[in-house]
Amino acid sequence: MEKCPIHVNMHGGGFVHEQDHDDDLYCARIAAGIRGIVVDIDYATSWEHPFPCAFEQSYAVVQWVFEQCEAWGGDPKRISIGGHSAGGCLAAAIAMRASATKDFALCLQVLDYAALDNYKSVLPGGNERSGAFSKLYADGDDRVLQLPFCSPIFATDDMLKELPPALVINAGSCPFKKDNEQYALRMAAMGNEVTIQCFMDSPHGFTVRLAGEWQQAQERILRAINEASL
Amino acid sequence: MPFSEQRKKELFEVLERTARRSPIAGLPAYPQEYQDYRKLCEEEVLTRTVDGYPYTLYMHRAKSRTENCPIHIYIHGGGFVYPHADCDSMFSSYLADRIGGIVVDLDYTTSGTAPWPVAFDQCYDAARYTFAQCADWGGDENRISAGGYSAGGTLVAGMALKAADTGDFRLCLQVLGYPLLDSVNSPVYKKGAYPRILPLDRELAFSELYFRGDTEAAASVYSSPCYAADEQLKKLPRTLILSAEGCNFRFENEEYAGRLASVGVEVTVKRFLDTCHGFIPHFGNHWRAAAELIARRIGSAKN
Repeated sequence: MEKCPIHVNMHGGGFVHEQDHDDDLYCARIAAGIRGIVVDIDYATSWEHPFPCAFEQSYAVVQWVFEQCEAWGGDPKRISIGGHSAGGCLAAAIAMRASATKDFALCLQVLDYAALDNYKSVLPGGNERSGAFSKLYADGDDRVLQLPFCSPIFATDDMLKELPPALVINAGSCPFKKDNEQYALRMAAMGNEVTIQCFMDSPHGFTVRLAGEWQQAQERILRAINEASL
Repeated sequence: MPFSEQRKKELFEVLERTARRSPIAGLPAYPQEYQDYRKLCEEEVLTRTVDGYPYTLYMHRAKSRTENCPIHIYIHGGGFVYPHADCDSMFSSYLADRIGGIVVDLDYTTSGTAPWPVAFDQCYDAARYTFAQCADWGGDENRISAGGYSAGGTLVAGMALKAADTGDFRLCLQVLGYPLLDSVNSPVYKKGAYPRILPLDRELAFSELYFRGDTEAAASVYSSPCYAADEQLKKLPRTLILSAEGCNFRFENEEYAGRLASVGVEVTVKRFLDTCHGFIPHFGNHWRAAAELIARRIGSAKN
């Protein structure tokens, strides 16, 4: 049997919501579409376990997937990660750290309306709901929110070198759209292959919550994973 | 300032003086491996006339091409003034083979012979002609793309905008290799520009030979695509932008990518580090990685 691709998924929900049925459906669809395996992480949420717990857990899971790859019949050149909203933050941070440590080599990172700046919402005038997510995530310590693995928008240029190719998906009315475009262009300027696609008529959360142009977004993600290989 | 033969002579002298390659050395001799890429294709030469000026289309039909194959229109660079070169044929043949299709490689009228808009009109005509001939050539009309490098990228970006505005044809993809997208602002103001890579007087000479002092022409959206409105940009086809670290246009290239992305166009963008403007069809550092990316994007582009 041919070796299959493996995709590791990180759900969203402001780091406070847990993995749910919508994520099950999304992951099942991706697994079928890539004819492979999807590993969906139910990371510890901010209530009991603030940053860096979810990040460290997710990183460890990806590392574990690479170790299990052969036993699972997976192709080590075709292991990718992807995350939505808060999960997108985790995915971006994992890709950055792996590029520095060389612990493993991903073939693709999918950042779906990712939450890359968790700091600005705690500033005066910031969005109250986002600010609450951030306070919980950083256990009240605002300085933590400016750490690059907590808010990838603060990554230095060096941290953006030699990243896996990226698919950055934005939603037209999502407040993170501009941040994500800037991050995508920074990655490109540091020599990485980045594809950006904004679904103009869709809201934040659309890909997994089956809103707006979710079908096109899921198909785009499938195409990216199917075309990705080291 | 009226443009005279004397002025043209002066500008050519500027180009000669600022050329990085010694005229005695001549063009590089490409390795046999690259020259052999032409064997991968059947070549045919066609001629058409636009605005009273004839131009040539070199058809590179890959021997490996499939039925209903992709067709790619290739527009070379050279500041609008340098002609089609052997490396363009080699690169086009290589690309045709990689995509299993046809590359239509244009030899447009250069600015020493005729100014704007002749080259632009010829590129647009070539695209319309390709769409008209597509079925006869065994191509898939939903898989016709265009790609250009440097001044060629300027022409493709303008062509894609005009096609999007008029609805004359629908490209499935535009590939822009380190294009010049701003002929309005003086190169002096270009962010991060390296005079060693493209000296100011050289860039101004290219521009003056092509636009002949017609600032309105230079400022038109089809000449300087970075000034297109969002309403125009959002109708563009999916886009691949390749910039180079050693290139004075890298910032305007990546800004353009950002603008397209922000209005919903699917954009793939990559800055190739450790290489210079011109690297792709001239077989410079990392040309093969760029060609693979181009072939991949062409392969997955379909209307």
